[in-house]
Amino acid sequence: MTRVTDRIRTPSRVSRPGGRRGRANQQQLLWWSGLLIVPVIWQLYSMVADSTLIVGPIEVAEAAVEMAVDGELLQAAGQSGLVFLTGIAAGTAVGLAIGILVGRFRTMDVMLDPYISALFATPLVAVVPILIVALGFGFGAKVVIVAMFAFFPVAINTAAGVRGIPREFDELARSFCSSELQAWRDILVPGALPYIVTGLRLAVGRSLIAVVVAEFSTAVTGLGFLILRYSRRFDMAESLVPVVLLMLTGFVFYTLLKRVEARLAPWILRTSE
Amino acid sequence: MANVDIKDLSKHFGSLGVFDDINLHVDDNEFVSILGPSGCGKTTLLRIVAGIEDTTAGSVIVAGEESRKPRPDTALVFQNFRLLPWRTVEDNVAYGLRLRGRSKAEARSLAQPYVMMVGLAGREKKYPYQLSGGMQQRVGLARALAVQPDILLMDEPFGALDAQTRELMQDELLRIWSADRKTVMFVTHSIDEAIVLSDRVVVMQSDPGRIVEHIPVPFDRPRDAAAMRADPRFTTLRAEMWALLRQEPLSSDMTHRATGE
Repeated sequence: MTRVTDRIRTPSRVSRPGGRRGRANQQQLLWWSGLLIVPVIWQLYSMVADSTLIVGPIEVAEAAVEMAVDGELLQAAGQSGLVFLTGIAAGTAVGLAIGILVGRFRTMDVMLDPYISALFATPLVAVVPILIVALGFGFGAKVVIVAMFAFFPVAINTAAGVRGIPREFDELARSFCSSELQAWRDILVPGALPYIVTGLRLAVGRSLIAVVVAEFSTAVTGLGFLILRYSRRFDMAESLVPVVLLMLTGFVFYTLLKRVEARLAPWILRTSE
Repeated sequence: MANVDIKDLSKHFGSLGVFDDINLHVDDNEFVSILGPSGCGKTTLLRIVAGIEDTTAGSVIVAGEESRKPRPDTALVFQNFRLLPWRTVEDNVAYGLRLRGRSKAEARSLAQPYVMMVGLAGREKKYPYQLSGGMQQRVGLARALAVQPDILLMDEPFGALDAQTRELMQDELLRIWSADRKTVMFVTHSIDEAIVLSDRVVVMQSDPGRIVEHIPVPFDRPRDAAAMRADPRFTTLRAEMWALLRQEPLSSDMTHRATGE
């Protein structure tokens, strides 16, 4: 399987010893400024532009409150969330299994490589209409679409992580009469875990794309439904609310997983001698 | 019964012969060291007994059964420790117990006495990278002992440690072994280590790998390593083994000069 090196990275560890405190504060300040500066410019622009089609963040926030009170936002988010979580769970489970097989067994690697490389390079959106023909418009089809998007980063990173585990641990496992599945549990999964989490983090972004793609192209539901409905009515503020919600979801998951990555493997800096 | 019987054992890697027709018997509860220069096949021999290396010809009979695979009644201690870096001390020690179907909690509590035995009480929650080399190998030893093997196979276990730690670990192993005698096959290239620990030292030479001598070590147990080293019998044994090892690198054209000395 091709190594997607730019997507494979070991967890970064940001250490902030006492002397660096000033710098840390400064960084926080920059972070918050960056966060504020875009909405401010956006707001100013919307005020200057003075068009009903260009709405500012304040109007979007007002629309969000309204839609939340109304209950439609929660309902739509619930539908999308279910598709997202089920899909990413399924994609991760399959990706994990295939990734371990490919990383562990040369035969599997050689046999599956053309498929994984080719499909990874294919814009998966192109497959969606075909999937719909096969699977229909329901919840199942949506989950499959999301799972497909989540699968690749997990599989590819897991395989890379498993390949990186020293072969000598195989001997250890064998000498203690470990079964193959026990070796997966004790050695392959924990050894590859930092890579697996990186894969999962990349899968989050792709899965959110997939949720919207799925909701647009199958039976229209969830946040995708809200976006379509409101934009067709030119209710720009309302149609942006789900978009912002998706952004926030992605951001939260991404940040959380990044933290997990950094904490997961204190040993990674200094493995066995 | 926990003896090892190696019969006419040969091992070749492709066209490269490591050794041919090795015969060795290790008795119940006997501590045997296999001493030899690098390249004599002593580690390969041990790995075959451990079941993680194939044989080319001959057989290994462990506890009366012909054996080609790793067995639950043997345990191997590796030279480079091979601790799982993502597991704490206690979970590394519990590794073999978990593989035998114990739950995590059970395995930990069963591992605890072995953690204490190797002097790591209080360090149960540390990770291997937080330990010195000597401590890491204590974990490796405890992991092997925790599965209560009848036969302990040790592949230059102290070879990666500094000289001082090495002697401390020898004392430790003497103490542990006296308390709970087992059959031990101990591979080393250190003469002192072989004498201090063993009931019998098997000396190997290379090209081709072969056993040239079985030397019993007549010291009583329990042993005091420091007192042993001061004993004249130790010096004699040492010289005897040195002579056997020193012949080793002298190939045919050097033999004359060697005998002339």
